[in-house]
Amino acid sequence: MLLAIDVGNTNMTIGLYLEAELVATWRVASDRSRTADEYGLKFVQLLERESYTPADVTEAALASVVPPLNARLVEACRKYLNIGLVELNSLCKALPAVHYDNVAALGTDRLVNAVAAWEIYGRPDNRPVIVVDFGTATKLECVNAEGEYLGGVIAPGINISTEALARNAARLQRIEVARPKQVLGKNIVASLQSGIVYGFAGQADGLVKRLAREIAPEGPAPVVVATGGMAYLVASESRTIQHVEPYLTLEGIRRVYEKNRPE
Amino acid sequence: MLLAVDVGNTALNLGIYEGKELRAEWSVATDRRKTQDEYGLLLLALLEYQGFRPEQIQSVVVASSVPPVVPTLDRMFQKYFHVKPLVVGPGVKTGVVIRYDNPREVGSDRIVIAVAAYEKYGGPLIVVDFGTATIFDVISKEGEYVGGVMAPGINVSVEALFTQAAKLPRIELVKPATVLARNTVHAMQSGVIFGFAGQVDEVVARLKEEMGAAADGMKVIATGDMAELVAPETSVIEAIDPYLNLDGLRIIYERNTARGER
Repeated sequence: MLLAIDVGNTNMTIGLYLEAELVATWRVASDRSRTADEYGLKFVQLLERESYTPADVTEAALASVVPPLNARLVEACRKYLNIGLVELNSLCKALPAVHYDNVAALGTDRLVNAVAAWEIYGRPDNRPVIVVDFGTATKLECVNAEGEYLGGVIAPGINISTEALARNAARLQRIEVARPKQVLGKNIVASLQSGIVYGFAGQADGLVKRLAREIAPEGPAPVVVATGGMAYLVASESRTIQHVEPYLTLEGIRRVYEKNRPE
Repeated sequence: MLLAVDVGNTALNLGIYEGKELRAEWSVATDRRKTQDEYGLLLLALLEYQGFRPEQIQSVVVASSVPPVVPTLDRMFQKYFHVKPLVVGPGVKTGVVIRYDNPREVGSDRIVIAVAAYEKYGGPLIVVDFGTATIFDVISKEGEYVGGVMAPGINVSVEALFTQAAKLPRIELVKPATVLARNTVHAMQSGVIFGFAGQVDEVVARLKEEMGAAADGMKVIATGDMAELVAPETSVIEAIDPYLNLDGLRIIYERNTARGER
């Protein structure tokens, strides 16, 4: 089985694939102070809790935006799972073409999202796709109907912006991020909930609409796919998001890994 | 002359009024640790640099969204300017009816903005204040403060992104030529400017939708530090008015003194 690891700035999402089927997922904090042994042990414990053994895992692939963790994860897989961890990067074989100023500088997470979204939603209907990944940053990627990566956009993410506001504003407390009963807030908590839910839905929609005008001015309209930790909250309020795929990044890692599997 | 002081979470905005005319304005970082003497010397230096003398300041009006700074400023103005400031808060007449679950929860900074915006533009209107938070204040046709929406502000969000994302560089916030970006700096400029513009368009559209007929003829005015950057990219903001906070303080001061300026 394949262990796919998506290391984000806040969390890492880990998925276990039996062929093309995602059979288990876990989320672990991306803790820069944790060692290879701690990560290795964590992987073994997580697998065992779902009744798998380390020996079940025969391959592992990584997409990471936190470079200092990569070597530790490689060591964790070698020592505790007895396998090599393949570090994917944006120069891997992935899409028919990648249009970016310096392809090596494109985040691997962004490329694998683009691959999964295009292969699942774009290629079958011959349509362009836009992916919105709501993580530490909100990242949007554009792929045309032919599968060429065209570029994207990066905006501050929902959680970090909300946390930063609570830290910086004397009178604004931490709140539960949930959908308020109306847009107009009649108290501070409801006003913040409204601003977060409708504001970030609007941020995504505003970016999607502007990107769609640039990449597909004459149609067919792009398919819009959302993923990431906060997608569930915002996608239902968004007017442009058509599909939510919580594990799109893992799916992209699996697909890119298969195109680049070591002999 | 009247000195108006708006204490925000990030900066103190100060303005000197001669009658209704704003003669000079400054902005200094809000520092909770700064003492009355430090604030005093700083203000004296700023005034003198523009050719004003402390004795020209006959009255002071203050609104604060950072409560701990108020006593410090109060003592400072008495010591260095020999003026007891009027602090906007309970007991001060603002002329605004507040339709909020708990009216005392509405920050005095919000009321100050509402006062100026309604006096200058009439209602119904939405003021979008781009500060530490992006705040949408909704004012009815009759000038009542009917509620608001608050989202994380532009600077605060962008700083958080630089701090927490290992691979992202610090960028200069300028408008890029296209939305679609093929490098990280461009991608972030685009995400910030067009993303926050989209946020404003959407929140305003939803507020208007929800309000129905009460939103007929509703104006949308922007204020705050980042207004210049984002407002031109939105499709709903009609005007930028950078000094609504100071104008509001001046108007409230006038409403609380018999002859306006003493």
